[in-house]
Amino acid sequence: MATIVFQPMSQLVTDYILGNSGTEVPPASWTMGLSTTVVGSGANMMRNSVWSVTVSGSNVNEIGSTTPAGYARQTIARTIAQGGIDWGTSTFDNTFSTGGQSSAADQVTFGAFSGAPSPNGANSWALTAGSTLNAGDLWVAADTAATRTFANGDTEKVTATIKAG
Amino acid sequence: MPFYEITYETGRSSIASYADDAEAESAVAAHHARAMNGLPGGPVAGHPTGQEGNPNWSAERIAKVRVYDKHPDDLNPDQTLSVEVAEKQLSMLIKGLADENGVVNVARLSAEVRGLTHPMVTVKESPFDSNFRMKEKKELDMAFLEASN
Repeated sequence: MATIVFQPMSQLVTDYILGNSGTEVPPASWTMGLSTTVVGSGANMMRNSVWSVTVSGSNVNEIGSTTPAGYARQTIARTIAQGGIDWGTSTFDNTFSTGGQSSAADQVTFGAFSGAPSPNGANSWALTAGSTLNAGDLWVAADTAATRTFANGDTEKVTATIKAG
Repeated sequence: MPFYEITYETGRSSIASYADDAEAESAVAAHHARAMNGLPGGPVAGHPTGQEGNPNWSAERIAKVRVYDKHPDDLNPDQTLSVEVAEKQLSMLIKGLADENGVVNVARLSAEVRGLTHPMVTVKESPFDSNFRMKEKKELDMAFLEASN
């Protein structure tokens, strides 16, 4: 499964955490969206990709932007192990090459879909900001295991794990 | 387009966007009916077994549907407060965080200040409570589920 860290997340580390700058700040909450775009290995999503309704180049295109049919972004709280949907207590992996600190968010549920959203077919999920489709900062994305095509009564579940190493 | 917070009997929840209550009721009833019949909750085709958890997770019965005029994540996306509210909240936080020596940890205070505009609740008394601080416009009368079964 391919994953990518987008430029705003990198800048959050360099500017906000290291430099205490307000140029790039965390959102009020994290949201998760589903995208038709494959993460790929450099030919699809890129580090400077942005959300767009236009399927072209390295743009990231969100499902349901023409016809939601029940699709909406899901919110993950900017807290750890509280009462709602948020991040789990982080753990440390000391492996030299692949280790780091990781945290799994509570599983989010999309839907229930009332029919086929347009566009349909989720190939990746993305951690983003805000509720407006095809808009907002992109932080990270990962491929889904397979294209997920939705119909009436469907839900979709995604568990995001972020590892900083 | 209104947004709907769907609360499942498992205590899970999701946010969905529908054109109107009729579309919401149709989708909710379809998923609920799957749960009543022990059917999968999502698309099964093309999902490799053993990846991303159980691809054939069961549908979940639905307990409550709250309706919002806008996405409840949009409580305060610009993360702003009026000076009056900010001063009042800051004063309360400083008093609450001060130790017996009258000292406040600025990093801790900073984290608490960032939480002032957070759209989600941190404590739920019931698993069926809303995840959001935004007040819902209304709840759907769940009698439609009975009628659809």
